Amino acid sequence: MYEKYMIVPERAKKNEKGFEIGARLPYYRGVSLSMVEEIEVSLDGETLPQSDVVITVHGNSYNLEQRENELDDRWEMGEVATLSVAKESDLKAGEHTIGLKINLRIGYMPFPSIRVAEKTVVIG
Amino acid sequence: MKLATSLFSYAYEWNSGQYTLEDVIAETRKRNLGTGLEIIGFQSLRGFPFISNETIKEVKHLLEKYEFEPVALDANIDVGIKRHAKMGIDETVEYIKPQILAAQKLGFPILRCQTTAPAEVYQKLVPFAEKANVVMGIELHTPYSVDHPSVIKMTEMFEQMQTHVLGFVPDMGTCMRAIPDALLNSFKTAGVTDEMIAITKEIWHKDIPTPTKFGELAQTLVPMGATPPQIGRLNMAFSMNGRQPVESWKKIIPYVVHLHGKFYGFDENGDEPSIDYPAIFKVFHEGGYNGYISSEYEGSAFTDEFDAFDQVEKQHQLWKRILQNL
Repeated sequence: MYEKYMIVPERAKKNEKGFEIGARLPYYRGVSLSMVEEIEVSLDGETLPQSDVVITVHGNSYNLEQRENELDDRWEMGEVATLSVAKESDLKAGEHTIGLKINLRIGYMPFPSIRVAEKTVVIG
Repeated sequence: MKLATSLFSYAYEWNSGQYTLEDVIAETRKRNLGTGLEIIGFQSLRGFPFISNETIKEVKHLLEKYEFEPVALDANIDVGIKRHAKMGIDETVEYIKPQILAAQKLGFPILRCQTTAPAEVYQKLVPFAEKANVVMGIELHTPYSVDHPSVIKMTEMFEQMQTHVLGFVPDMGTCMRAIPDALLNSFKTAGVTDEMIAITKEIWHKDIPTPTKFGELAQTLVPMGATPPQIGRLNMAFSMNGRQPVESWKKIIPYVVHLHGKFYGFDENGDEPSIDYPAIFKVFHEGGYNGYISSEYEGSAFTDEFDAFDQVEKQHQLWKRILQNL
């Protein structure tokens, strides 16, 4: 049931690029960022391009390409990462439905570990 | 046999952000859940395997304060860390070395290792592990039952090497008598239907290799409209629930250094319907095994209906009953 804590609504807000949310890793342990195969965010039903998502863990930010190649730095278990999503059109302040899909590539599992969560959050 | 708890059991509670390492260890002691403790490096220790002196001090202090014997530190062997290339033999050796050193520094006699690394990797690591005096306990997690070709190869290598730093950690999810209903029912939130569950159960009972089961499940369910996440969930039923007979462990007991007491839940009598613990304790006890077995609650992966501390407590009650009657 890691889905329950994946989206951290208190950390949702508008930023200069678009908006950001807090997210926890849906797994029993931390993993190197390169093992995070997909981070897919949707806003009010619209799936946003993964290349528009920047992840920040303990002060270090990675775009898609950087994340895919980061073997050492890790998204720790329980750590709330910031997912910053570029969104050009003016986003209305207020309630929004956020969807989050995280796909992990775990070397000892024969198939991808995919977890999907959805929450209504207030983006101020 | 001696009882321990693996902090793996509390992954979900911990993920809520409401517990510290000390909180989970303190609660484990308060409920008297064994004399041994198992921890997972990449779960509990920031920056693992390159841990600071401060972390080493903290872990040792907590073990002492709450009177736990360090039983096993769990390594993870992330052979798929690079997107497009699987780790080679020498790279894997280098990935494990600092984890061996972490176990040594923290005072854990066993480093739980995984079958994702082949026998050759562990053979190369023997001199390093001997120098560190850390036992590489290779977990036999389903589908790696004692008859699996990789495990047979591993056993042959053990025989050849004749060293105390190589051993097995059988996981009791390898020898189950049923797929836990709690697991299957939890998939319904992902839109899995009763029909899909029935098909999964049917395929599980077949005497065919696990990869073949993955294929057969996808082949049957895709035309029914099952989505990849749904099939992914149902695949868990195969990857987490093995059907090896309990008696088969007898073949490797001399090499067993630790046991993973995987469990899913209990019936009204306090028994685990999907794993035959009385039979398991009997086989290992009679085979001369007198080491630890760790509670590993698997429930957090699929349900939040139960409190993991309560669940581990129930398992220890069951185990204590079994031990009294051995």
